[in-house]
Amino acid sequence: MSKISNRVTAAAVLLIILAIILAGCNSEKKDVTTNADSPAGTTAKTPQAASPEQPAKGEVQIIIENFAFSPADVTVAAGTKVTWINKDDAPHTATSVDKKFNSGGLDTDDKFSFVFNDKGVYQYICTLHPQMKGTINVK
Amino acid sequence: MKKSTENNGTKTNEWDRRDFLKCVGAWAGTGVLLSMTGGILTSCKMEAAAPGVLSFAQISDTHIGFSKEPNPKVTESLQALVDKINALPERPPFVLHTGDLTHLSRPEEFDTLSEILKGLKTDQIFYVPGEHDTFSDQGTEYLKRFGKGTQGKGWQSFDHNGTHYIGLNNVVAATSGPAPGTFKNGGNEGLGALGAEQLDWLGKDVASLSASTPIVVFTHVPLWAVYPQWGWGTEDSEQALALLKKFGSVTVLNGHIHQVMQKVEGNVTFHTARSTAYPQPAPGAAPAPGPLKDVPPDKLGQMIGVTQIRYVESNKSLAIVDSTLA
Repeated sequence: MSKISNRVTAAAVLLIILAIILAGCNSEKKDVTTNADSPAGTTAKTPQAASPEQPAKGEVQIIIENFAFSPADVTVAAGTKVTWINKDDAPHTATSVDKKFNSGGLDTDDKFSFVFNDKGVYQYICTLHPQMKGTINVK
Repeated sequence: MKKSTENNGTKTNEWDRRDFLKCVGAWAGTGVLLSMTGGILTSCKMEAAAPGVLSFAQISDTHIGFSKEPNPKVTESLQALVDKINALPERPPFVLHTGDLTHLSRPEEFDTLSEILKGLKTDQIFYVPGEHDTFSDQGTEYLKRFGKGTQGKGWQSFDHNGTHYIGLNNVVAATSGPAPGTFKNGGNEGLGALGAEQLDWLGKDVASLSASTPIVVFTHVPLWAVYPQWGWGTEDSEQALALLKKFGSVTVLNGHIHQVMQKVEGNVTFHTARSTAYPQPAPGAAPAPGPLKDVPPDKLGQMIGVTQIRYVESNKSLAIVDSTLA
């Protein structure tokens, strides 16, 4: 084996070790909103994607577009703030069927946030277009 | 010469088309006259105005508060269409507004609408709500302003020159707020709904009328299944129409879909009016029934308008004339 090849191998190994170290330092600090009075949008937080298997913490965004809530079914941990954003040209609402929350009329680009402190299943509709349905599962 | 035959309780009118054309009035040259009687739909150009022809106007979906494409100036469009109605040779004794007066049911939007319509030259305006008028506060603001003289959540009837007019609220779901049961049952699919209380009232309202009384029903959402996927239909419309089955002439005037559509089914003529604010796509022609965009500014005027309804004495029918702004 030549000396150059040895050096290249060593450099590669060093780079790999460096990459591993850097990856370990790179994990984001997660903020969990527990205070129901915390104002919306005071800090720039990256919304966490919600999945059925893993309850999302922090904040969740639901986009209203083409007369649908996206995602329509969301599972979150208690204390999560959910924000609806209307991206449609028509106004919509996010209104729970058991009167727990009501966004009121949201025009294009309007937002509404609600912090789900209590566990349960929250079904909601758009009162203008009741075929639009969504569910928030709070665990 | 008109002949009339009775057959199993249904009346058939045969009428001379030339006589009909003579009796029909004109509308500022920008409308098409459609007459529906006995299931026959005919279209003809308008002739000069005949004196003494009863006519009334229908405006719909004024959406005061809307300010986006394709029409950022819905108040100006409405004013221009009010001017058009005011320019008619015959002053309409009343005007019907088939709902969606406002865009977000805000008090200032209702204020602006009322202000503009104060300039409408007519004796009375009758209103029925659209979902945009009632969704945000379960109809509180709407009923405060337009509930006087109505029953329940804003339905009513009145008579004029022998015709019986029935105004229905088929956005009762929006007026009541979401009911806990509807979600589980797959419930409300976004269609209009009349509800049991209103249907009960309707049955009683028409019970004592003779079958030859012409009926006009005005309500926001179409009373036939135009396109249920978009909420363009009323889930209990069949029950309402069953209550009107005995009548020889029923005309149903609707809005909600922001385009003209009509259908004839036996003795019932269904017709939807344009919006005075903005057009919507044809059924299924877009992902969703929002405002139609990509409308060139010079074309907008051809896609918004008002409707005139005339009573044609010669064949005892109602003729519906749609007119656009431009």
